[in-house]
Amino acid sequence: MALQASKIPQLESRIKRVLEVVGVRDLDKLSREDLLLAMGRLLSVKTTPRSSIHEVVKELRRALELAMKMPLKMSVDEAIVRAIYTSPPFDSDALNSVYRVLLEKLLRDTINRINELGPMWRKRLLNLIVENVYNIAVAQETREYKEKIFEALKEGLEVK
Amino acid sequence: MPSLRELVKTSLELYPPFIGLVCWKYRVAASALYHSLSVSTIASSIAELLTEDLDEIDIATYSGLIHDYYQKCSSVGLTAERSGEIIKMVLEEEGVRSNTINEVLESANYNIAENPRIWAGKHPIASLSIWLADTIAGATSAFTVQNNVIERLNRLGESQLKAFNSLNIGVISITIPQVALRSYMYSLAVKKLMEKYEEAVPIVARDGLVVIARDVEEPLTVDISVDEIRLEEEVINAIRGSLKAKEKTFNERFKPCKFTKGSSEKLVLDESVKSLLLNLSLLDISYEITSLYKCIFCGLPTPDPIHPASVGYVLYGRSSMERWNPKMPAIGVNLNRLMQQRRWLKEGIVACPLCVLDAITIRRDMAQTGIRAADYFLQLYFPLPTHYILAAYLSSIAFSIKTREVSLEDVISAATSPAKYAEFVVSLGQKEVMPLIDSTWAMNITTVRAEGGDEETFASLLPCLARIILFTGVYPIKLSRKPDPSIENKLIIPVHPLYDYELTKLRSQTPLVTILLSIIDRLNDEVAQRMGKEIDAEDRVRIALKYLKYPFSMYKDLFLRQRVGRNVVEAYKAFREDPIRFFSSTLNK
Repeated sequence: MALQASKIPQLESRIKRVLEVVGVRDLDKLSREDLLLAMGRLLSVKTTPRSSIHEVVKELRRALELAMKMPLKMSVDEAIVRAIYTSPPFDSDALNSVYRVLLEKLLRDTINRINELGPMWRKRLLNLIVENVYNIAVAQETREYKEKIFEALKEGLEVK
Repeated sequence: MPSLRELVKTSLELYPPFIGLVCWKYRVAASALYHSLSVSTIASSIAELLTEDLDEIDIATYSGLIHDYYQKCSSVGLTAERSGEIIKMVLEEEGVRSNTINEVLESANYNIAENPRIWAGKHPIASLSIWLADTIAGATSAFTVQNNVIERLNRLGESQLKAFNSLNIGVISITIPQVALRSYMYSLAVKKLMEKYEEAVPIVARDGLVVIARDVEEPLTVDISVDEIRLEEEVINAIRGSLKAKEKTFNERFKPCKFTKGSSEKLVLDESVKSLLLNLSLLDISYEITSLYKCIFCGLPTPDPIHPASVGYVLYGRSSMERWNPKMPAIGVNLNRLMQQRRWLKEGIVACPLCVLDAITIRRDMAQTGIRAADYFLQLYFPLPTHYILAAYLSSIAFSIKTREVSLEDVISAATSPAKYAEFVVSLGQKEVMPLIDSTWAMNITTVRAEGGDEETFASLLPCLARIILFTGVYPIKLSRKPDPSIENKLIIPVHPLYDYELTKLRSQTPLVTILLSIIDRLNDEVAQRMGKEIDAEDRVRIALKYLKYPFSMYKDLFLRQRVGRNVVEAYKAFREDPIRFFSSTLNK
């Protein structure tokens, strides 16, 4: 029985607000580059001035590897659910659920794409995705998003 | 009436890369920008021939520029209403009168380029010239132009037919095998044509130069003098000085008096060369019927043998055999041995005068680009008929991109703001150069120096080639050792498998791929900066080669590596979401 992964995280107002800040307005109309940009902006919360690639994207890399190496009998949905719920990157529940929403879309997109590619290019694509997310997270223009995300989280708390 | 510079600026604003680089033709690879610009220039010149009314010429020019806008812009997500708003906005910004703008928008509604009769009573001259320009610009060869026009004459009204009958269409064609020489001869012919017939319109097409003139009774012909191609005396003295060969051998082999400007001695050619020239005759040349020798470079029979080393003298200042020696299969003939001492005449290893003149033309181009050896030729194909003056202008833009450094900001401006992009491109085209535009194969050629092997040279030149496409809108571009006429349906030839795709199939990706290729050697910059490393020229070549191997479907992921690329992706997104805002945000500043 396939679990419907997209329905699992219930979107509360705080999560929606963070998603908006990150640049996601319509979850159904997300292109590949939008996803990577949004993921990078979200992970910029973890960055410090001299943070290494391992610090920032190790959870993302692990999830992607898990999904790519899934056993043959496992369905795509099941694999995605497994990958999503291993090692969350943040301490905050709200940020983690935003991360899961984005990760689920990213995994689905990636799994569709790697079908056309050979094993070497699969690995290179994974590296490219991870590196891009890191590049976006560390870039100078992403710094403002860090503050914006914190503000959005604070607003949500006051409403509660 | 706009000048060519203003017209190019307007068209670049109307067709920024996201619209302009998309291939609009089904059978030929021709970009939207290039096709519209060429129709517009031809239409305005034809209207100038027929009338002196400036308003009429303006209407012909701008209607020609947008004749396909409504029809084809749907492929990039623009509806007719939105296109109309954009055209109005851009033309108003350029200071075109509102009366003219209304007429131009109406012409796009009626599709005057296909149905000129609708305007037969209102603007007979303007509609005739737009229709004629579009018909000419759709032909694949110079010789099919007349046929195409005559087949569709029933679309014209009576007043238009009367105006059409006063025009003469002729073809001037040179089919000698020396590419550089014949391009130079075409440019001389165009100069002579402008003097001989007032306001004649020269059009570069495949197989020849189409010429349109008014009220000419005889068939259109031109005479050009070989004397203009010959070398100045100082240059010949310089060549003689740099050689190690003795004065006597030099005179015997090269026969300098035949190739000096102003010399009374005539060149001798075979009678059969006459048949390679259509509607064009060479002055200062004597023809002979019997020829004993055949040129080893081009294969033409020649009565006047010249030592093959003279090609090496002109091109490299020495008789370096390796460079000019034609590559022969192993047939057991040692060319070097055959040419030693005085055996070359006995064995028939000779060059013809035309090949030496070709070398002289290439030498001029080398002096212009400032390189010492012409190892490669960069060929910029004009896939459809183009006004000669426009072709020269676009070639001069390509020339200045090749010779100077273009910053990354200018490349991004192509994606983010049409106004800045247009201003930058127009500032490039100011330098006057001698363009080598060959009308037989419809291309512009320039010489390039090698940097390492085939692959390295290509990789180091690749960003430059992509920028030429980005700023002129003309593709395909080819890099080869010898000029050749074969066009493939590709962006850049030779290409690695990644960008080996059919232009006509993947239309909307073309602009993004071009921008990616023009920054491909800089994709690692941001990472290297963070690590505190420096990247030199050799590394850039290696980086470019590495990224060329990635599969085509990953091109957007490659964009995201660099801040520049992310800006481009966001600009493209903004353009697709709200095109009108994309245009207005930069124009009104």
